[in-house]
Amino acid sequence: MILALIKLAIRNVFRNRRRSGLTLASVIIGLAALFFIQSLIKSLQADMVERAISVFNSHIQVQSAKSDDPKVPEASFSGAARIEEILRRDPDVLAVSKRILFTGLIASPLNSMGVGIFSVDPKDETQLSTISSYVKKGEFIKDNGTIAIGARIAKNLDARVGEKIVIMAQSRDGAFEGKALRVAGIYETGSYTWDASMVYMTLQDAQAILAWGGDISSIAVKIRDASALERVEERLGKAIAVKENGLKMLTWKDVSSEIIHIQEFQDSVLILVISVVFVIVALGILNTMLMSLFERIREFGLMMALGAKRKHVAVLLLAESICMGSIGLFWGAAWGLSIISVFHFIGLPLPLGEALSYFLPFEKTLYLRFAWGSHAWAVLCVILVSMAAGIIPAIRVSRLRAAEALRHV
Amino acid sequence: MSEALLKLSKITKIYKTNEIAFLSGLGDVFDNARHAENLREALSFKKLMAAYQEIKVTAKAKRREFLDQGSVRGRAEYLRDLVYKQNEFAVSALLDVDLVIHAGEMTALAGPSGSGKSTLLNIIATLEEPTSGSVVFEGRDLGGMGEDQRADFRLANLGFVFQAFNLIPVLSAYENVEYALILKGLPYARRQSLTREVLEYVGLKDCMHRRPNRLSGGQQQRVAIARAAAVAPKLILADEPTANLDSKTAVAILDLMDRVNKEMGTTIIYSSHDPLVLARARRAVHLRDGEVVKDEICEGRPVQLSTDTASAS
Repeated sequence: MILALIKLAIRNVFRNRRRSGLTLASVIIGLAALFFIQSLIKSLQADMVERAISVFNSHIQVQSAKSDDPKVPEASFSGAARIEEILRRDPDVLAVSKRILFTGLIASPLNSMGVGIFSVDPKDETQLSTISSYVKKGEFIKDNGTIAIGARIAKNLDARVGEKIVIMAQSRDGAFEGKALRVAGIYETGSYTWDASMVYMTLQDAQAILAWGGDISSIAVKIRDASALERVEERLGKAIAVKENGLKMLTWKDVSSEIIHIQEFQDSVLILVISVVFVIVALGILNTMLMSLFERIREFGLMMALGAKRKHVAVLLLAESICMGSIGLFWGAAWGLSIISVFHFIGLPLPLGEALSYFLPFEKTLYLRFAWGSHAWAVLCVILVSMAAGIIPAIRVSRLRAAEALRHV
Repeated sequence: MSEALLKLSKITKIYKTNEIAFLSGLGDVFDNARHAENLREALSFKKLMAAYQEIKVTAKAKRREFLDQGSVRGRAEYLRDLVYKQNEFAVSALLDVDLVIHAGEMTALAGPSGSGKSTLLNIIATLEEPTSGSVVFEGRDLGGMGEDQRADFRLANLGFVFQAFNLIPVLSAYENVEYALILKGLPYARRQSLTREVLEYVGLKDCMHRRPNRLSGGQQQRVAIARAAAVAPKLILADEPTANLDSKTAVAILDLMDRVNKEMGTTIIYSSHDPLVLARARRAVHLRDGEVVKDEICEGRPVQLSTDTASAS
């Protein structure tokens, strides 16, 4: 009975090929476009998060509980070696890097300017962040007494690899201290802010300028599985007893909450787009089903006369609606996934990349990736929408009276 | 004579026209108005229109006429006039029809258009309910059944052949016949053998996989007969089965129905207004203006029977 019903439903869908074709086209184009938009937004979001994590945030940061600014923690803490050892022992931890972030003045014989200073252990930082891959001239810092600067800073200061520049900052006791460093490398990330205002130097040099002894301001942690972030954060927090030691543990979501807000906004827009697409799809299917119903009233009368119950003809119409949705779903998903696959390999030129890369390094070409979770929602919505669109015709057909339907012209 | 398969007693069917439906729906509005303190408010245009929508009147002319009355008072008077005239709109399709059909009979319902043949077939088929009177099938009163019960009854006992063939166009001849068997719940293997058997029986062995649009009118009607016969009904109802066919094909279809009746023992009632078709009937019940005017046995030569068919049982 079910097989016969499905066979009849499929044939009825293709009864009026042009009309069904137009409706199917709307479902297919709508779904394919939706897959593409989902992929675009999710890829953009993922790229943004990955860049932020790989260059700046890392997955998890340990900071002093006294710090107010999660991005540039101003308070220092001691005992970093013990904490680092505990972190490195955890099987989920991939890399650990101790950091001091502070602001200071950079000066060459020609010019001076304010900069953000990232002081790191070069070996650890190279394992944790991708900054060394952006070095275009020279090399990333290796030893004390060297510095890596952004291309725009180099241009402003007219500094070249091998030349000496001076870093000045306020030390713990309030004095303005300075240190001459040799430019080891010049990096170019493509981010205006990063290239024009960030420099990298060694932890020991920074500690000397700031008179911090062995203190640091944060420990960045990179984990193996980003999806296990909260679980790992909780475990590491317990392992190093953050509260008891006057520390706090932050994930990248805490450090860069603006990314989360951007994602939430984009997701809201996506939901709006999905709703509009599915309302259009539902109305298209509903219109087709109602036209099909009015054209076939005699046929439904015949079925009832032969002994088909009202629910049988109602289910038939519902099956036709679902069938139409399913055919549209199959081809729409196939087209959508194919388009994403193409842009996964060739990449999508992204004019928006220019704007996005203002604060953080961001590629101008976006390589789309599949957003399986979102695609699954879209698929579910098509099924539900095609079912919903069939309900009104199904109710109407179930109210037909066989004799009147047979007389229908 | 074999026992009565079907017994119709005092069957009357009165159709309400759109106007009557319109008026009966508005009866409630008038009842409310009678008890309302503010007649003007009760008969407000908004309320009348709401009632009008609710009863879903399809007569656009009536709607236009109603709206053309302009004022609330004008519309109220217009509706009141219609209420007084409502009997003018009633149509009696059948009036006190008594009829007994015995198992194995092949009976023709004869009469001109509008004589009530199709209405009578619809009432026997439980597609419509009579305004008054009773239909008893194998001793079971068919009155008061719900829609699903009627569907079950039709599935178990009846087969249908229509003037316009009424095959499902997206299904082949084979599938059309099989569809009736699917509704009946027969297993796949049984369906297959039975469908082939019955299509071969009606002479469609070579074109059973063609869709209706690739079959002639006569072939389509053969499929319809096969579909009706396949479910082994006790009664086949055929409404003007030859009206859309040329005389040669009509004779062939009648021969086929005759074979089904004789060889399968299925009782058949068919309607026709064609004298050529009626000339081949073994029993003819003549209807005019909703009443039975003659019931005759016509094998060999027409035999005049009493019009009181109840006494024939």
